[in-house]
Amino acid sequence: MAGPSLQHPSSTPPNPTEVAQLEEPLTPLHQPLLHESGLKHTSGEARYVDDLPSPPGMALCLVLTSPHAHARITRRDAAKARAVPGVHAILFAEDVPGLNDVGPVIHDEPLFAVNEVQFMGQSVGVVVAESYDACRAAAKLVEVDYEPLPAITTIDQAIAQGSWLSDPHVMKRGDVDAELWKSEVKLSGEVRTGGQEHFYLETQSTLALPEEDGSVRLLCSTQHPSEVQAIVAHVLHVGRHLITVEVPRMGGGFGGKETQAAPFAAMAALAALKLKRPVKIWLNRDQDMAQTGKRHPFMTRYEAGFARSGELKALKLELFSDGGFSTDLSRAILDRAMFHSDNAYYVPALMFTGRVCKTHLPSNTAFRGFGGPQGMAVIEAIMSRAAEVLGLDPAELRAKNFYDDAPRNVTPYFMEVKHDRMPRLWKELLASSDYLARKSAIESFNASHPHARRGLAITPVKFGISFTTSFLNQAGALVVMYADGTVQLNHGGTEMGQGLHTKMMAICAHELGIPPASVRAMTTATDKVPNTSATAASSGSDLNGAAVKVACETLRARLQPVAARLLGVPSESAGDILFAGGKVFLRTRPELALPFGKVTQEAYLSQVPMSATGFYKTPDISYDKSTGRGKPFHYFAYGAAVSEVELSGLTGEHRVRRVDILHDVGASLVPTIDRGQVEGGFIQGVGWLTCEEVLFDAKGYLLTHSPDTYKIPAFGDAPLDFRVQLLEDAAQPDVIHGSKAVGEPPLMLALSVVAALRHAVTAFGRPGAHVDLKMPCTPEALLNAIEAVRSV
Amino acid sequence: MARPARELIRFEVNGDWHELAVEPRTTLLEALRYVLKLTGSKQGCDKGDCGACTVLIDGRPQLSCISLAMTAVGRKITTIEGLAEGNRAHPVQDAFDLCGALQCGFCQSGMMLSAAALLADNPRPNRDEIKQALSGNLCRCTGYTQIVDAVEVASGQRDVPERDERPTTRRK
Amino acid sequence: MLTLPPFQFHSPKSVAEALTLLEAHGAKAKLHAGGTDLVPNMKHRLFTPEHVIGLRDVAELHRIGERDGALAIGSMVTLADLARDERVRAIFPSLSSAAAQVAGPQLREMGTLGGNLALDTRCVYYNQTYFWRKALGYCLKKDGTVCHVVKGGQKCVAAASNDTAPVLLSLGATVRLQSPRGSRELPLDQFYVADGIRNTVLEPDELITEVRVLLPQGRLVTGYQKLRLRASIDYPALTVAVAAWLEKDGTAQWIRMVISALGARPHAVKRIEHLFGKPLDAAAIDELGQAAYKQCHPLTNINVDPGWRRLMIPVFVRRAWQQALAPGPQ
Repeated sequence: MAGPSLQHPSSTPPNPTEVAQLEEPLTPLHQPLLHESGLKHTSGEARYVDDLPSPPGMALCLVLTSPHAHARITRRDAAKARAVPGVHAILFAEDVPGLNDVGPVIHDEPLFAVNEVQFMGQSVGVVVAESYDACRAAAKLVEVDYEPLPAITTIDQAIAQGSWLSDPHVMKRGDVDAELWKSEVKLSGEVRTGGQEHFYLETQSTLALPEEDGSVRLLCSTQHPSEVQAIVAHVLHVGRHLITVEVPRMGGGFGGKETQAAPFAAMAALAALKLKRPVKIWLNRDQDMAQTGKRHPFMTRYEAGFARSGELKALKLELFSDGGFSTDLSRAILDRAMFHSDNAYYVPALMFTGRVCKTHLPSNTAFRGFGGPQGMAVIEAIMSRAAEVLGLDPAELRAKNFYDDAPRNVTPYFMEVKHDRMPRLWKELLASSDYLARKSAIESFNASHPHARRGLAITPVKFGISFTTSFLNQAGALVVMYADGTVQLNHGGTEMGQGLHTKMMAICAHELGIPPASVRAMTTATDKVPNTSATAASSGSDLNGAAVKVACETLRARLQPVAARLLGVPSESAGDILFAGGKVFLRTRPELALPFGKVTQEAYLSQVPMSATGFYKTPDISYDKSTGRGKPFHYFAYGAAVSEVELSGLTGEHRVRRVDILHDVGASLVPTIDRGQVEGGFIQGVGWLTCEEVLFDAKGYLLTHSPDTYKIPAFGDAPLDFRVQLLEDAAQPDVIHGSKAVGEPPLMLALSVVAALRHAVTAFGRPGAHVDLKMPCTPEALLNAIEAVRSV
Repeated sequence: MARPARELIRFEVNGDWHELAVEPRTTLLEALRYVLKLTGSKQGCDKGDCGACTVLIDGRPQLSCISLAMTAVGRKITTIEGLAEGNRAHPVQDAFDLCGALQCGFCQSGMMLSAAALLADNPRPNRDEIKQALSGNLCRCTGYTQIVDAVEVASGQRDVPERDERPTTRRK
Repeated sequence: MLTLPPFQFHSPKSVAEALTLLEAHGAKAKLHAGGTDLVPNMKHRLFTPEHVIGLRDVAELHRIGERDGALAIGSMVTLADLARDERVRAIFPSLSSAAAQVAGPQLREMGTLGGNLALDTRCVYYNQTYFWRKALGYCLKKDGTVCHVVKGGQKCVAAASNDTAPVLLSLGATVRLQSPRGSRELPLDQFYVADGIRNTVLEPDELITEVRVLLPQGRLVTGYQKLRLRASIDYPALTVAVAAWLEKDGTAQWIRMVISALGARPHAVKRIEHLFGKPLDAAAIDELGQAAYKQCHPLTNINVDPGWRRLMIPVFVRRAWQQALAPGPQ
């Protein structure tokens, strides 16, 4: 367990008399700290959107959706439905006063379909009524006639028919064809990764409250309140100043509430303004799974050239993603897949080409990793295969190809790799996981067991941190102090369980030298911090934390002269006044300390402003897509995992026996929170790669529409032995308090399970037999792979 | 069919008897959340496949989203709001908090009620028994290991992380 | 949120009272045992009964006891109680094991033996919300005329997914059914029919009151194995229940083997009588696995590859027999 001195941020502040000395534990930073919502969650008092008291007259919504994957709408008639008692309104595209579009980047996603529907479950209209019964009764009476059109439901069909959502994006270095031709060993093939349903436990929900002046306040479960605000404003054709979006908290997000909360929020806002009454929209699980997008499935064709020594010489990739019916964030997701097609490896000659396919399926969207996992899955499959073909130890082959000193330190997009933690991390993990000894133990197990085989693998993760759309790398904060020395903290990030508020409170408390219990993290709202970026790309702490720090520095600078006066220190020494442990004191005279609250009280009386904003933008990042060159990332986060599996040759079923993770989070802001992110991200990755399968039938009908058919990992799927360590002595320069982003990178550590399964599969056949293992590695897929190596 | 009349039902929730008039089709979850305003029990999937709505009925963990309020008549229901005894937190509540066995919190109440029911039956369960007893509750955030740790802490089989202020009291 | 359709709720206190209600409402009524299958199905509008008759308060249906050389289990005994019952665990370990593996812990606390036996069949095109079934044009089992699993199929192939049914079939159990018209006791293999739409002979006014399993006179060995993708809150993709009466010399006086979760009716594997009176050794078990494999043909009625499910039959048959023949308490 985490070490001593756990503090709950909302527990009683320590007695001020006990904390006069200046010691390390006085700061909550880099210490185990309990989750800011812990008490609220364990007592049941934490409120999500549907837990808020229903305002009088509140109406409910049911979305009318398309029953076809692709069809023309030939007639629409809601006259009978409107007559159902209790129905307030049935709204269609013509009822939208502004722009009937919710596309976050490109306007190709209608809020309500107009002449054509492009996926099964697409919104055609919305019923607003006093009860769900009335909604449902009315929905049955809405008449919409469709003329079905041919539907594209797979990447292969889209490629064959030239159905695209983007132009090709190309990254290129050297003469890849010549290098491939020269290579001693050439590998080629195709790697496919499947979709993944977010399965946030709380489905999409918004409560819209009409207020004065034609304004609307939205309580919304979203990772991106500013974008919801912007979209709602243009749908309603009003200025953004009339729309306020507030996020009470989310019951999970994982990317699924980055862009895809907006359409439903817009429907509720539209209805609320029209009806002048509060309106709540809350999707049931089946609707949510059918209507919202998932992780992008990818199909990648590869040609790789290796030297017999295992050195990668050339790599040619063609990536195709399934964007669904509209663009959403698909282009940026494809970009990130390409940015991570190298993972931690230097590729001397390369050409990566990527393109987003348009299909008649829900619009696929952000999901933890944002294309990164899909890119890494390909290179890791290639590395595993190269080791199998060359008869080399996969760990050695991987290490041989890591980034290194110049010239082997330049990524495929010409960014220099600095502060490379991988060699050190790899070495430490090989040792701490006892990799070599376990590998030989597994060989003897495999030689003796009648029908089970074990596999062991280590895989790396190098993940670029920053939004690759560079201008998004900005954040704001508003810190409000009261005369009694307590603080309200507003920042642009949203809390979905990941512990962002806990980290922000720790930073704020550290900067002002007060206990975390004196700081209250407020719900995220667009009227506190404007024009925010999504809480996404793992960037929440980096960006918002830096903004919080700036705001606190401003406040401290204002308090220093006040404290100087109280302490009788000359005003030119005010800069030497420190804030720690709830006290304010001169660096050289810590024994003469004032309580923080006394200084704030005096500041108020002295007419000193007590609130401050902070702003941060990531310096020095840019990327030019036309040339495929730039520095899209501020830095890289690193990690590696060793996974051991046991695979049944009779059934294809497997168990993850043990997992050792060593992950680089820099100087962790709050290690207890980071450990939760590493473990949770890993298991979510294991789900994507082994048991979660999004299935559509040929007509575009979602077959996995609820938890009875879509299986996320349960208790029994966690590794039997799970050892997570954070890399020590790893402070990162130029990032808030030396920390590093942690939200997404650990998900990709789960690729070690696939590599371990491949190892186990190979043990069923002759060495060098070609392993063809499909992802997700379901028992069927594994048994097929086993049968294939056996029959060689 | 015509809407059947509301029926007056009585059951005990968190130690207090409640009398409420409900339509017979009301689920126990609807009665708890929307009539009694006990919103700690969550609706995750609406059909008994995720465990977020778990409550204890006569001490046994059951799914309130697919239970009829009518079938709870005369029974003793415990929700997350009633897990603490007065001001004293249930060991499971402290342990989940201390072990970081929570993130978004949406599965939390169901998870903790399943854990509380287990410890009532089996005060010192091993890790397999814990996983078995909680296997009807899905969590999408934590990866489960810290939850198993938390139940071990709650059952006194694992050390509680030391800290100055333990959350042993809570608002009722 | 998925609300339930309106209905009147009745809670009879005795079987007689329940039968009076069934007589009055018959086809317009549904019996509610644990509700774990009925309530979600009603949320999906697969059933919209005007009356729901809750059996929770019928005390006489909650008993387990020995009577006339048989173990009599009331239909309202919960799956959790059945799994916890020491006597059941000692005498019919496969039944205990099956009950302990149904769905997840909460569902076992709610679900009952009677409800499990009368469980509706499942299909990926049937267990859906009203909207999705309508979008697809409905199906044979409910409101429609086409089967989406078998192109041109005229017979519903929705699958049985109850764990206790194959086990009780392998144990030669009988069920007592009562209706206002009287009472009948049926061997369980006459209770199920090969029709996915309604896979039992239970009449709308009939109630399962009791399950009876003859107590073994000699050495009964039993086994139950279940294939599913996730170890909890998941439906079976294949179930295998085995039972045999072993003589002192290890030969099997009789053998029963039931395969389920593939089609509408649990399948009692046939043409295995030639193995009676012979030792139940590895060769015999292989032969049993092959017999089961040949007789079973899974379909795409659930999202698990039917080819793989079929391949798993001999594996799970072997595991079930290994479990049955393992020394010591199971």
